[in-house]
Amino acid sequence: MGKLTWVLALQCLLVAACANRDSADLFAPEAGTIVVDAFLIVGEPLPSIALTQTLAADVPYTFAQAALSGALVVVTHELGAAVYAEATPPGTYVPHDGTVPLEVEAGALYTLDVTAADGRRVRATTRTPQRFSVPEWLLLDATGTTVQRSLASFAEYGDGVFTQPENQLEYAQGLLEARFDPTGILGIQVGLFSRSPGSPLVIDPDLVDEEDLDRINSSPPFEPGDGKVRLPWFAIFFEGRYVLKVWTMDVNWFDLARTDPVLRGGGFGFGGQAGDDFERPIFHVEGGIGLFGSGAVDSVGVVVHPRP
Amino acid sequence: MRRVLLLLLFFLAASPARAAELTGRVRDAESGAALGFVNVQARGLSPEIAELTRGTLGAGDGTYRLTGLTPGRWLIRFSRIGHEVLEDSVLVTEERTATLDVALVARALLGKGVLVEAERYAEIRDIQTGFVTLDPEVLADLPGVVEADPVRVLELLPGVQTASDYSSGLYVRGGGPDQTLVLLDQVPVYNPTHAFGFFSTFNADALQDVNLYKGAYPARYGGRLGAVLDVRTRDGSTKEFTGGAGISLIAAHATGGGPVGGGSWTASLRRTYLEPILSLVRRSVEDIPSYYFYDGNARLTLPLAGGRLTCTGYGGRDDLQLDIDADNTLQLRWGNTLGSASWGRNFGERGYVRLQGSWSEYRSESSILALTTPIDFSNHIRDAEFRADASRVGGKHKLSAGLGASLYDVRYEQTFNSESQIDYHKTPSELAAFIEDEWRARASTEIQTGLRLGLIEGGRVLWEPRLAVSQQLDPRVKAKFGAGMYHQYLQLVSTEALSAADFYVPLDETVPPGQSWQSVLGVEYQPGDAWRTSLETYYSGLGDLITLNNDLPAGVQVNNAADFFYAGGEGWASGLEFFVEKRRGKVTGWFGYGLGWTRRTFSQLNGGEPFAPKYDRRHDINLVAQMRHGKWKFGSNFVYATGQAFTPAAARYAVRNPATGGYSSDPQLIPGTRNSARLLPYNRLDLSAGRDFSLFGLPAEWFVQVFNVYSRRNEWFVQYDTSGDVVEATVVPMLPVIPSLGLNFQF
Repeated sequence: MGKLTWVLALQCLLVAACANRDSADLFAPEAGTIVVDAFLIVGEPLPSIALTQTLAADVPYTFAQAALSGALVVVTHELGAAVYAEATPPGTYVPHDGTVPLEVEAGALYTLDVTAADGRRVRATTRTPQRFSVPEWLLLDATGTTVQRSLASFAEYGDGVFTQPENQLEYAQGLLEARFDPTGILGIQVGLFSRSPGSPLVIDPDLVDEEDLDRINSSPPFEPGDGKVRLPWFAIFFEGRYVLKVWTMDVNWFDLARTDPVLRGGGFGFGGQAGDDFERPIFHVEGGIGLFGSGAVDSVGVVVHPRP
Repeated sequence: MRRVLLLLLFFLAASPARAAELTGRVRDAESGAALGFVNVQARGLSPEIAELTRGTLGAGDGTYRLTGLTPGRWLIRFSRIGHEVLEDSVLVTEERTATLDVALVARALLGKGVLVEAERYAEIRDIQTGFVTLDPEVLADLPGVVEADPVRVLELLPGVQTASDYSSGLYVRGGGPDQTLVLLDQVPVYNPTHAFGFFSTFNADALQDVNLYKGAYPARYGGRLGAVLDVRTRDGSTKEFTGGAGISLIAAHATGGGPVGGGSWTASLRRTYLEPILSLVRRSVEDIPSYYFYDGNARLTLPLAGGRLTCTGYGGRDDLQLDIDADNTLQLRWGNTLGSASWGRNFGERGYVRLQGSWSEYRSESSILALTTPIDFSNHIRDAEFRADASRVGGKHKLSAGLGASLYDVRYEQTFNSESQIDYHKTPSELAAFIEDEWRARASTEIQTGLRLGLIEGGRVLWEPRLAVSQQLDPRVKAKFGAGMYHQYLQLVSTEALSAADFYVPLDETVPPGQSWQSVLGVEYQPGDAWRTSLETYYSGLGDLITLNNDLPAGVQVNNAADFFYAGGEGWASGLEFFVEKRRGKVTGWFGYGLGWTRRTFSQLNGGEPFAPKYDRRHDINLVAQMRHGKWKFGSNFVYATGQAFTPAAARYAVRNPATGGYSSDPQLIPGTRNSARLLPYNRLDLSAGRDFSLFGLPAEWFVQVFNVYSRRNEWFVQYDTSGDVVEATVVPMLPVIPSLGLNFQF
């Protein structure tokens, strides 16, 4: 009886030690919600609109599989409407006909109406921000207290900014800062674009795998505060030409960017331990999800040189 | 000061004619130190009172009082965990209060090979529901993670859990760590953790007892919605110098104490010792972090002006440094500093007054250099408090009252790229007063009523009534009920994976303080001296809850509490706890089972629908056993709990990033209903063995512990990898089997 007791106890322990996990229990699949993807840029033509549907989390995702075809897409403005036509690839819609001015206007209300082939309807509105410009692009000292010099702008030199001496920067020397009037600005986001394909790393190659680094990055969204935004060096990995874009955002873009873990640059929220951060983003879309937003932008070009 | 004393004693005037009663003080026979929370039971010896029984739990200073005694001869039984039971008889008359001072012998004097029959665990004979007191000496015998930790052992009680193997934060009856008030010698401890939450700041060598009010706590405490953890350090010996030291896999510790000036002193130190070893390794292997923690406790007790002056202090610090290269570094430093000075004195046989001044400080600083970009966080809370308490016994009543004033200095700063992002600084104050009456309404009925008033910033007054009732149904059966209203003004924002990042925010006029209404009903049954059982059910209603707003954009101006939090949440928690304990014999231990539910509702979360917080765990089972056999001792813990709730992934979608014009490398993920899924159940078995021996003539013991004997990889959280075509879900596990050993000796 003693041996039997030990055997049974050992078996119980072995069973208890096993953590049999069905991976399907880690998902709660749902699919088929219409996703809107469009953002208007003040001063630029009406953009294309991508329509897709959500796919369940536990199946492969491709744009082709998610695309929503055959929808009626209309963008209206106080001066008229633009009807969109489906282009290629499927799920892509471009302005086809209408009376809406082809250049997106500042401070204007635009409405998107989508009617899917099965009758489902989606609606979203955006009020575009005012035109935006950055009067001062500055290089400060490392402490951020002293202005070392002003940078040349695209407005002055066009693509010639990349050859201007004041726009030649040594990596991690000083702080880049954009100064602007924050009046009426809800939120700011910065995009960084490497324009020197194949240029070498400017950071220590032992730290990261180059394949994991993007030549295009963005900052999380932030409030404009007192009209200054600093551009951190840790977002710049490569030598060569960079275009730095500073965006102002409408409320749709701002709310999605600050609540979507990927768009705010925080990676992905954990489902368990940090599950308090795994919340549904804010979508200002009736009948669906996604983004119908707008923004205005200004930018500067610099050349990043490695440290000697 | 004199006016304060008079004011406190004013309403504690003479009360109705007294009945027979017994008072006294309990001390340790060897050291002479006062023994708190001693269980005192009385049984009638004279024929006319042979069927009568009474009981009480002694106070923290070693005093006790039994009232409502029918005149006659009584058998008084004193018991306390870690000490031999003592019985004595006393004649009680109406004409005078009888006094009986006793000294209890410690249970096991190392090296003498004497098996001492003793109480192993505290009896809960107080009127309070959900109250547990544990002796650190007993806790030290229970197996743990590398080292015995007095706070982590509390998770072996029903209704008490920790979030993970990596965290010592307590979840008590459906409430989070932010809802538990943690006190060390009546001084708040704002971040009682070491090693990122792995250990608590409490060194078992320095402690006299660990007391936990799981809910419905009395009016002398306040400021938290859920529970109170009241930890007290012990006095030194008043007879001779004593000490001890030891070493485990993580840290070395030493304790000493002895008589001084008619009183005593004691000091304890603890420090990790791996850092010098790691520094040697660092010479050949890069990226080895430097980490250490240390802490120290000190206590001094002296007679003063007819009373007793007690000064206590605590200091602790954690320090982590990782230098990858000149452009990439990480430094984390955090720690607590506490100090108090109190003076207490009996006035006659019935009155007692205590004055205390204290301060508590927690500071945390994190500095990161990421590819030359500096990122800094710091948070700092300081708390200076003065309080005065008084109590008076009269007839069937014991009246207590107190007044306290607290000044806080709270600061949270965050800078990014040398630019200030958040600079939040508040200096609020708080006044609190309480009054409490313990009334023995009948021989078998005790009623404790209390009222606590709080005055916080903005002139807001918080009313908090309290009630506790105990009814002896039978010599072996007692029913208890407790209820009360509670508020929380100082809110903790806690990060499970990095406790050093925890910070406090005082709620100002923009956010009302959280509130809870608690009720507990229980029954205790003691079929014999060796066994005790209890069954309790509880319900808590929660309102004005807050939760951190994780969607704050960078650069947001944070000027008040409403900028940090989503407010206006509601919730509830309810459950049942069963506890059976064997307290005598070769094998002792307990079995606990908890069944509980808890829910939260915030309009800003989960679409405004109620959801289960992650610590909503349906079942909680604990089985603890200890055995002594000659010089050997063995221990085991088995823990089982329902898995934590988590939010599963539901769907994928893709939206371009307007700032770059392109898609992120991976489609985004939509969560399912908040916390609608469950991790696998948690279970774990720990074993320990130890043996007494003589080390150069000094009593010593070695011990071996194995945490998680069958190395079950319990689930901690789910990580979703969206980089591939298909989302891959990985469950990150908790700790595997961890053996450890150590050595302790005394001198």
